[in-house]
Amino acid sequence: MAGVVLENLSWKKLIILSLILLMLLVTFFLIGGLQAPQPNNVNIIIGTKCYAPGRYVSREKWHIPRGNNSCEKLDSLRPDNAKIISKGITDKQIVFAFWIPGPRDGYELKMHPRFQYMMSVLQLDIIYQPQNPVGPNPVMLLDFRLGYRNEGDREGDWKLLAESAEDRKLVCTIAYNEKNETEPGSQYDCELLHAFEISSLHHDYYLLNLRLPPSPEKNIDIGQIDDISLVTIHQNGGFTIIWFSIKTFLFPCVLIVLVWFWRRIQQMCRPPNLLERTLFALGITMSILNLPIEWLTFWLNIPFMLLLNDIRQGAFYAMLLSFWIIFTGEHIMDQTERNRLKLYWKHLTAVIVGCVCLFVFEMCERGMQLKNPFYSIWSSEIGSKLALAFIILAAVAATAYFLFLCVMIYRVFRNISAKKSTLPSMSHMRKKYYMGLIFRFKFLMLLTLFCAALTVIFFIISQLSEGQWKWGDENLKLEYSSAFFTGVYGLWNVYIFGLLSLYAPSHKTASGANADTDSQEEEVQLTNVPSEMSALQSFAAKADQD
Amino acid sequence: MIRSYLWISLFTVCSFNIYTSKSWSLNEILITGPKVGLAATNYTRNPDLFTRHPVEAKILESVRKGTLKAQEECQHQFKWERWNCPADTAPFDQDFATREAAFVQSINAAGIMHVVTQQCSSGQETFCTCDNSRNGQPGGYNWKWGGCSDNIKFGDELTYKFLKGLTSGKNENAAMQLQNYGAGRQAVARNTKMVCKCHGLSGDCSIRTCWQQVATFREIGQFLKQRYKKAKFVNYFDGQLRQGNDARTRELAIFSKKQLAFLQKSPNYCREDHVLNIKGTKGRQCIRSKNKNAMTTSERKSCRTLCKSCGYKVKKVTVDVSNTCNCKFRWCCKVKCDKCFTRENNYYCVR
Repeated sequence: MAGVVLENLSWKKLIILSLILLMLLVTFFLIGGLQAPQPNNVNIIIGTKCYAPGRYVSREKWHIPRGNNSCEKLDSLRPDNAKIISKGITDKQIVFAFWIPGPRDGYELKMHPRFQYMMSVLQLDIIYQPQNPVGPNPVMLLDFRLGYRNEGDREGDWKLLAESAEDRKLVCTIAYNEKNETEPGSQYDCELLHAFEISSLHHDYYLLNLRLPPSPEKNIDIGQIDDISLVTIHQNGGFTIIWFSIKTFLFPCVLIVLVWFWRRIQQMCRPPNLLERTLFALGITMSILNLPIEWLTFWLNIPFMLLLNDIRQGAFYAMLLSFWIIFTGEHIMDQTERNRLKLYWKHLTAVIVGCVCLFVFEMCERGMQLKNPFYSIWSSEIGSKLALAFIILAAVAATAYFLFLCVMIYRVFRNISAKKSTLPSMSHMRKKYYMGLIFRFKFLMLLTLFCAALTVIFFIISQLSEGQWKWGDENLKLEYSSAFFTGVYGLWNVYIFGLLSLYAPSHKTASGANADTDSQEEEVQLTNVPSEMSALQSFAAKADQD
Repeated sequence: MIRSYLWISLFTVCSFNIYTSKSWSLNEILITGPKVGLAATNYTRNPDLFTRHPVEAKILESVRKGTLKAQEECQHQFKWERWNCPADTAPFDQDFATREAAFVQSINAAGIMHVVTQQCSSGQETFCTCDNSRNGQPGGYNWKWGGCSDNIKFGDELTYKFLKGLTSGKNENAAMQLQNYGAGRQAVARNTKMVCKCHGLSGDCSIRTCWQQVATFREIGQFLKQRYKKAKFVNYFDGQLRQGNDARTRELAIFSKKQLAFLQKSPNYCREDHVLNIKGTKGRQCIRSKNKNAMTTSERKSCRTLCKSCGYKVKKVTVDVSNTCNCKFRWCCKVKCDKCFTRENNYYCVR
């Protein structure tokens, strides 16, 4: 028996199943679009300019922007500021202090484990002065100290979370007026600088102290800094809850169909073929990705969760790409004996190389950030070259993969049209076998294209909606970005769900309507089909030569 | 002192209209509205009073900073014009309805909004609220569920309510003020730059978060100066500002909210006029330089606009000025400079 459920399913049942899955899909989009808030929240905090008096300023002391233990604040860092002149303040004595999050409504806001992660960037307000412009390629030395405090703690009792002195390249441009002149007092447009990324928010308040210590080569020619703002981005609590709920719902659904699929194969009196094993593996990676272990972050401090999620996601992508290759390869219908993984080594190498590259890059960036949240691979010369090399290598692998896939699909279609012309002359059994093969392939092709197209379309919509900020548009009903994430996640789950249920081996014999006595014979015939097929192929090839 | 008094004195006349508000901080003003005005007049005398009403104090502080910022920018933008935004301009005076008044009104609204928006993220005690509405409906998100709303929106709303409270009556001047305040607020809201950050899988752009960055006040000033040049002379009938005074062309008189509007033609700013409190351009300094390329258009034209076309002559005065030069800067605080003496030519308008 070679048929799969898909071939033996009546149109009515197929349509009902498709409609159910489609409705599920729409539900996922709507949950994201209507129930969830934006995926991420942005919090901008302008640094409080603290004056640390004394000649030898202790690095250990925390400078706090507000409250009873707040630091001595400076209004301006300009050389003509009265306080700076009268106290003879130097750049050594300035600390930029950021309390995350900022206060609202007279209350202190708190961070929450629900926010999952926080990444932040620095935005510099540098003013153009003709005597003190930003030089070519200046390097900044940023001395970060990140601390935390919980609500019950004594005020001013901040504990150290991480500290590091980091180099960052400062890239600034400035606008010129029609006379090709820059007006004094206009502001540079500077690239954002990576500050830190932490992947577990288990404390209420965070405090960042930033110094720009004097150094012979660094922090020179960086112009007059007026202000430094910290932009922090964290996931929204509501989005986290909805996201986890969707995962929790999907995990058993896919798992049940996966178990059913495997039992179906076990019931066969033959070992599972390559395609079935690949599909099973795909189901397993999907289930691993679905496994909602993230709920644990609500109670436990798990800093590596973000990394783990990325790895799970990467593993799923790698498996999906491998599945497409193997599925196409198994449907080529030429004389080659398939059903072996070895045949696909070229294609799978492309997938593996690409994924390993991205994994190494990921470990270098996010893995390192577990140790030092301020680390960025892009800030050092060698690091950024290395990162770029990995990304280019991954891109090359991806291109190779898609070329392979396209060639394979082309071959399948060529063979399909060749088969179609010879179909009328085939025996009933063989005809049915090939028609089933062609239908299976075309169905998956359409399904995959549909899913890919939906993903791309929603990606574009969400990017546009994120990019287009609508002023005063109160009637915005849908949260497109959230809908994209929940919808696309649901889409690929539904895809896997559909594949597992439709491509499972069928109980019904290939010619269910035929007499029972024939079935035994057919089974024998069908298991021999590959050799029969190659015979046919060589025959066809001969005919071509003639 | 007098200058700041005049710019603050607006609160003595302010009577707060009844308006609905979402946040407690605004309700607070609503209740203690007249007191805010009272407190503000006493500002310089008794600063301790404010600690008792921190929210109002903070709003008033922002308003004060905003109007000062606006005045500074106004003087920068009009440095080489006949009307040079004198310090004793009363920004909320309703009888002041010229093109210049339109600019002052709009830049004041912009200044207040700019300061309020910025102080929302200042990291200090703030009166900014976390808007918990969703799609315009109240009772939606809280901080834990959906984060906080936009600061620009808050600044816009607060400025709108505050200035609306200052505008009394339903007449042509009030209509002109509201029009120009709206144009000023829009100048801040429109002149934003969107900044995005990608932070998806391995930092790819599958997850992208964007936020709005308010432009510097210099840019907003330049933007409003352009609007000032294109300001519309309007008439007031049927309770609305309209371009032209012909009732038959009423339908054609479409008037955008972005535009500045004025009701009176500007007086002659060349001559001194005590009644209108105009100082005239006599004695004003203008700029001339051999290096024409290094000057902006208004600088190049300055002697012509200020002196010659007003019927004054340009007088050259040569002075020796001590300047700082060869400065060595750090990013903050200290400057090491040499002192240099240069001979400079200054030009003045004389009769």
